[in-house]
Amino acid sequence: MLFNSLHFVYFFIVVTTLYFIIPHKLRWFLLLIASCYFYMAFLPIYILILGFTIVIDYFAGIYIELSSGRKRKLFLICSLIANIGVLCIFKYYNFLNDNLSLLLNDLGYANRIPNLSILLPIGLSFHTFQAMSYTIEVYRGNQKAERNFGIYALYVMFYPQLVAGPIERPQNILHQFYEKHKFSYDNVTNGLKLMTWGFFKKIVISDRLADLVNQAYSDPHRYQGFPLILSTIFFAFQIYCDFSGYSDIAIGAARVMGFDLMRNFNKPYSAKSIVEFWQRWHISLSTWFRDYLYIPLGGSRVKMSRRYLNLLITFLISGLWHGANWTYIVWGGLNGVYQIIDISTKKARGKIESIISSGFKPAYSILCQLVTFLLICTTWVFFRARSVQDGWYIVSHFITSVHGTTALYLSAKNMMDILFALIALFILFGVEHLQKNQSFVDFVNKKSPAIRWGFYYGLVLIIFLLGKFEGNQQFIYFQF
Amino acid sequence: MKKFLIRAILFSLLIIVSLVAIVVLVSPLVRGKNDYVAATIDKESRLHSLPSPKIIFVGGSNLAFGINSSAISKEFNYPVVNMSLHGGLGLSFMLNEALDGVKKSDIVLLSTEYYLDKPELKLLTQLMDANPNAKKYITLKPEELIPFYISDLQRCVTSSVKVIGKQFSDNIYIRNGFTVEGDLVSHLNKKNVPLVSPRLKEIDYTDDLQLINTFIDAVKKKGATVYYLFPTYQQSTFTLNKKVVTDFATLFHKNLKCPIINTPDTFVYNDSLYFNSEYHLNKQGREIRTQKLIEILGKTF
Repeated sequence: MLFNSLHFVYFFIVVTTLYFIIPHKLRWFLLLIASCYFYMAFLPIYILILGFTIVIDYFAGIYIELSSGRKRKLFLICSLIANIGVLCIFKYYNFLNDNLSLLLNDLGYANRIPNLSILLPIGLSFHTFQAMSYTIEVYRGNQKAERNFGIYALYVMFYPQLVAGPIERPQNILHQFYEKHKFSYDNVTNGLKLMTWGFFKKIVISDRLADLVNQAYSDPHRYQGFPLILSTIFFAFQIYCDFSGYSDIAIGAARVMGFDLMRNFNKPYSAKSIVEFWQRWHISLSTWFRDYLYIPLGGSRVKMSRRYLNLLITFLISGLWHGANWTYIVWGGLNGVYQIIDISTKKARGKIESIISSGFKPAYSILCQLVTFLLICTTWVFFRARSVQDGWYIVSHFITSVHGTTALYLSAKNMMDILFALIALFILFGVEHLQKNQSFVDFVNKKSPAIRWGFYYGLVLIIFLLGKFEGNQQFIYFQF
Repeated sequence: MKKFLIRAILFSLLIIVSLVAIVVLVSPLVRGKNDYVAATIDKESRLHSLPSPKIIFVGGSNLAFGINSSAISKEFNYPVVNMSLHGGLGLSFMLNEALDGVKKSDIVLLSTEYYLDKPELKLLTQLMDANPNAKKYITLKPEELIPFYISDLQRCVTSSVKVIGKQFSDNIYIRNGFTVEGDLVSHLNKKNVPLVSPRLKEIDYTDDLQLINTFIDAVKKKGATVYYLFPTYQQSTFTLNKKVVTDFATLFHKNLKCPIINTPDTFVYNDSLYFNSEYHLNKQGREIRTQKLIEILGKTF
């Protein structure tokens, strides 16, 4: 079920109303049934995969807690193998097999292992990682093993964050399923406000930019220069609004029922360095990789060369997490390299900053933001391109002396989409700039009632007037 | 909870009233009198005023862009009306609109595109705005109503922008771009737009076939004749989608209640003869296709 569909609107109203009507002890059951329904709206059969990992991890958690020494580790390994195994079969098997075929072909052999004809379950990487964080935290002793099977299943399946995060930690969310959430005016309105902001980002900005991006990226060889630059910048905004919009809707939907999910984005395009960007972008995944991969590898408390290697490994795996395609690996690798350059030039940049007189500091700050944004845009090229070859074509044709393809891109229909998207982006970044370090809801809540009402009234009108409702476009991160 | 419900109802009412006000107040100011779909007014007028027997072309944009009705009229000495406009208006609208003007001894030449898609709501709202008479040819399913009203609302915005900034008009998809007979000619001297061949989806045509057969029965009942023609199709797209097209043709040959007077490859031409879509012929392509069509019709009539 897509958040940006009428189906979800009905579902949300019914589930939320029932949630506050029924007794507290039955609420977890209602949410579990609702979450199953939500997930099965995509492809019902895949609930079995989810069921498989839930059963394995539920028992693994208990056995880890009850055992000690090597046995404890063995149960953790079993759980990790089950989770990663599911990922490997459904997400990476065909990719690995295709690459094996290419390799064998080069060596003059034929690969007789067939590909699997299966569809990738929606949000597989998200719920698998959430499940893994549970068994790891139980193993580390930071979380007690959950004895109620239904509550544990709900931890993995809680519908607002089931298919695209935020990837929660058990310490943050599990106890909330036991808490009694009374109807709270503040929670309900704040949740709805955040959802509205998310819908604005998704329906008005992301979906409007999607057509413009698709036009160039589905056949990049038709274009050179400006259209490729413009569509890449549009994709940077599209993916931000798509994913942060989804996160806002998820966090808002949970907030309405009294649940607190972790913040997933913090104005990433205002980052002044690549390192800072990754502290602001997809925070739940970045911290997951930090806690469960980067730090166990040695993190930053090792020799510099080893630290760089750890970073590169983490980002390459992060790329692979997103999708079984070389484009994602290149994307991850580029981000890793940028991080290494960022860290290794930190001192030099600090010196430059200290030399600049205070009058020029704002300009320097904007320059840093701009450079960071442009560097991130080059990584997005590979994230969005259909192949590494396409990605390379786009990057290598950003600057060209050949003209003539701009008119092809800027058709009358596109101009209208661009105009509407720019108006919406102006609102988005205007609000983000003004809210400073506050959350969006806190920022608007501090305004006078007239401004508050006016703002949300305008926002809802804009969603209806400028939103894209045809075709209910899927969220980009659902495929991961 | 009471406080929340009161405020939520108030807020919702405010939004609904504002949206309705926008449609009621803005819509008349930005009526798309010169929109592409407003050409239905002229086409309908011609359809109803021409004496019979006449030739009526019914279909999507493959016919609007790609025939010279005047040449056909001269060749066979029948008046011609080309009712075709856009596949996105939906099969149901095209057939209902044409049927209304069919009279005894008329010849209906039906040529649909292969996708036979669901109507595009955005286009239908434009149509109903520009040509209120068209409403009687449109039927909406209950689940299409909310999206339809949202589309109508957005039409007011896009039309306002078009009115304010004339640069958003491309001078091709306009009411004045058609000949008296109903052929689009505004694209004829324009440069071709590079095209990518789209892959056709496997579609279940059962409902569409039923709709066409009902139309054929009704036309026959009025004492007129119907012939079906496979559309023109860009060579590379045809090659890419050969299986779907062949299945389409087999299904139509088996089930259609009227003669089919060409084969899917009859009007398949080199990519260079297409203007901005795999169905839209350019000036040269339009003439080649018209000559071929005249040849086929000569053998049929």
